Amino acid sequence: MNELELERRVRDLFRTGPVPTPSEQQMQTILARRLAGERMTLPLDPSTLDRRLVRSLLVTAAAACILLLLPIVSSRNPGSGQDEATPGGRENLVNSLYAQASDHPTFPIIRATRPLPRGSWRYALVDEDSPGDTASAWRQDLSTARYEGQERYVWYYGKGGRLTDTLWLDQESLRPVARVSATAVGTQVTQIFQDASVLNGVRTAAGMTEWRSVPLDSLGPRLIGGGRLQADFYDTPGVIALWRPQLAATLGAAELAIGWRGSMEAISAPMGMAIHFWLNLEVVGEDTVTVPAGRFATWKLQVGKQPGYYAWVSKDRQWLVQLGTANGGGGERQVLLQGRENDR
Amino acid sequence: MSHPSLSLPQAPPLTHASLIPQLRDGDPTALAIVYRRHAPGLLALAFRLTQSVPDAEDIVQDLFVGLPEALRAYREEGRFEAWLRRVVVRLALMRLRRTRRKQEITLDDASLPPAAPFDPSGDVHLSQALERLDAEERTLIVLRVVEGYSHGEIAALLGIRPGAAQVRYHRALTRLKSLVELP
Repeated sequence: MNELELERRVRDLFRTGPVPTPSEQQMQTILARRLAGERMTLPLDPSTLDRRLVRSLLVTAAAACILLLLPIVSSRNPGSGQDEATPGGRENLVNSLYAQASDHPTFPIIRATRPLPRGSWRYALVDEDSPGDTASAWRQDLSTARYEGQERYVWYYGKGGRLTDTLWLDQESLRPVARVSATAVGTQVTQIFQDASVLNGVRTAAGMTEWRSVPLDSLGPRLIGGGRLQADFYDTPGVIALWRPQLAATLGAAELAIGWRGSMEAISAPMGMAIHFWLNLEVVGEDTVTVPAGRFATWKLQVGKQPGYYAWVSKDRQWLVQLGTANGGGGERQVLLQGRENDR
Repeated sequence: MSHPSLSLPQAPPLTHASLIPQLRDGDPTALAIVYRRHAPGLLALAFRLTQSVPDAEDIVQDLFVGLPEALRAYREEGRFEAWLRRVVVRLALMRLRRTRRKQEITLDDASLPPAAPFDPSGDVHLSQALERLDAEERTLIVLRVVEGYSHGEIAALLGIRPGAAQVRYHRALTRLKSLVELP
């Protein structure tokens, strides 16, 4: 075998061999480590450390940033047309629950009208190209516990035994009260949800750091100079995991019927950020759906302000059976794999 | 299939030029965006160099934890991703050197675990031969053959002269060839 042939075989081997994939957990750990004040000195190319040149480039970059951001700031001017979704961006937006978020409630604000049954539900994300792929399944358990002297709903979220998340919800407003998330071995994040902010505390192997407060920002963090982050950023499992229990609780605790309408106050707090928004919900019909957990007679609810994204809630127990685009909608759906109530 | 139209405000395209100032400020959102964009390639690179999933994950984690401060010394020349990849290579080399020192202190060759096939579905004999190379030899081959670095670039990463990089690479390739050709 000559060297060229050997190089080709090595290249093929490495390029086709299995490689690890990044996880949401790892990203959360990175953010938690930074939030805890950890800093790293990276081994950089010595040529990148020419300080005089760096300083002049930073000045140039700052000036360039101002010039770059000026058009963004001016694009926030109403009537500029920049706020319209572009056709190229629609496909991602349709698939995102975040895309359905709104700054203001459209319907009466939802308050729980019936108690939620405790139990355990397993879901998975599927799409039309791979309807049987349930590898990304996660579990949601609902129980109750006392928190600050009051009984609260407690949602436990678990996926693959690596990422766990526990979320306490107020039983009447269904708003998050607190969250504890184990994002990595030795790292635990505690979040206390307040009226206009979220208090973050990170426990690392070195002990609990100081608490830091992050203001609740409507519809997510803004970019410098204006604009919002792309919707698909919020569609990651770790982030959506924070809203899903809230949505499931809201739909489970409402008196659903044809014509029912309500607005849900949703809060999400990925590490170092805090997002506040509204989801407008409306029963638009009845539907019979089949998911791995079985066949269900459901209420079909439009979620958000644009048609195309729905929640299907079982009529008998008001379980969230399916969430996402309708069959044939070309997008992803979260489907119920299995459900069990402890109280039955 | 047509999708329903949406009237959500559309974020401006997030180019590296617009993200870097936010990254330098340690903005977690910008950090998360860059992670989602680049982590798959960086993790694969770190894994190819270290052959260890935990080591590769640690390297990528360390990179992103230190990125905001490192970017203050970043000259915006060339591709941002190429710069990230060079930092990953350096982090991997540091880790490999540390590991090698540790092995020299605590292990002899006889106590090393038997080489595991890199990819059971692929070229097992070649995988095993690659496993038997030492860390520097494997690094040279990965950088040159898989990552496509020039001898000059490899020399800069390893802190040696380009001629030395070329000589060491060919020595590594010759050793690999002899291991592959073993019965």
